[in-house]
Amino acid sequence: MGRNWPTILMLGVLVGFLAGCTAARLPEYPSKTINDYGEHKSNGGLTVSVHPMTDPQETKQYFGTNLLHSDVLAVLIVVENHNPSASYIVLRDHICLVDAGKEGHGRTRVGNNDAAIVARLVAMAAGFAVPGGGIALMPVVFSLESDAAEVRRNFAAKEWHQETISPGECKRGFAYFQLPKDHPWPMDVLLRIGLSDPIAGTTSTFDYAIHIGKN
Amino acid sequence: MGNIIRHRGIPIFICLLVSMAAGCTFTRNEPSQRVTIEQRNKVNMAIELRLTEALEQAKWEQPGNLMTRHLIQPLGTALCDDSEVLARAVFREVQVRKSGTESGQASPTNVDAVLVPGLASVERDLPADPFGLQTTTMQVTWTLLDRNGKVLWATTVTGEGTGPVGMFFDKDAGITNMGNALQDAFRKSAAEIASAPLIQQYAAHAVKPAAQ
Repeated sequence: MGRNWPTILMLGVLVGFLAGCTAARLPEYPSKTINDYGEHKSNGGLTVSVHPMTDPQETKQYFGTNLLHSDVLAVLIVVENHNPSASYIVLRDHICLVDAGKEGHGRTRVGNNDAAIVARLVAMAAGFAVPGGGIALMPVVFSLESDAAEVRRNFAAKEWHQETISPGECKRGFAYFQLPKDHPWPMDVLLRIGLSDPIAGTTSTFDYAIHIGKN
Repeated sequence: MGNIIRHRGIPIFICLLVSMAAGCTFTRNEPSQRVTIEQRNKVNMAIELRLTEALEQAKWEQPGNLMTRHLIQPLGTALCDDSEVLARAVFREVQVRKSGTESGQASPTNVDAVLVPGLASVERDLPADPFGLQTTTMQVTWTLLDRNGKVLWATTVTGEGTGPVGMFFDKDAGITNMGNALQDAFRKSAAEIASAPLIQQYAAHAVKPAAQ
């Protein structure tokens, strides 16, 4: 044992850091009744509620990182269908941010909700462990890698891709937007959600004003 | 000199281990066990199962860095095969169209609808302990189109699977949790498709009688 104790101690610390570790899990966003979310609108038996995640503390709690630092806006969308017979489809392509300053059909899209682009930004925000840090920092680096992996997993698992909301159903998920970096802050935009009734061939549109301050 | 080698032997060994792990791409084995889906009352529709190129080439990927390898686990074969298992368990009649087939883009004429599976995301957590449990979370999308490509129904199903992380040099590392996630996603998908009121409506009203 004698002179080898520093090496043994280092290995002990290393093993202590690693052993028994399971990845920490980010929490689910709490389920509330649809009226308890920020802004909600109803039309034809449909109620759509949105909650933009603009509070850094809240995004850190549920996403493990301040998304707005990477110019990523997450918006919780909850859709409840009280129509007795009609089902509605919400595709990700039908959820967009548009310029609040323009009126009517001339409104242009703001930002990008392509998941691949947004996820890359989040991965970059979470992937601060990339440069490594030498043997002495291995436990720390592993821990950061572990955190980054959970941020990516949780971010992907919460995303709204496409849903059909049948009569009596309630569905929820997050839409993500990469905001333009050159846009003046604070930013005022409209979140536009299109719900289509495939049997009737009609589409209902819901607009929500969102004010985003820079964090 | 001997003491120096002895004292530094372990850190040098760890350095070698890390450098072996870093900087290169390591491809893991694809889950080979197919999902099992309980046969139920089939939806009375003839569908085309359209397997896109994106699905055929789907994979899980973890970017490498100075400390870890770039990891890849192909999933295309598993997803395509499992989609076919699901479609045959849920629908009365199934025609499979792969992306490379000549008529890949043509409108189908002898089916009631087209079912398109997709992989929206697949991510894993990463316990620091190689003997710990890892969770894989995947989102599978299902889109039902009419013969003209109009969306009739769409959903996203999340599947989760847990299993051992495994060692970084093991080609079968993480294969159990990936297999469990596939199983979970496809079983939930089958239940959701079979019970969707909109699909039942199409089956009741918009379906041609089966060819005799």
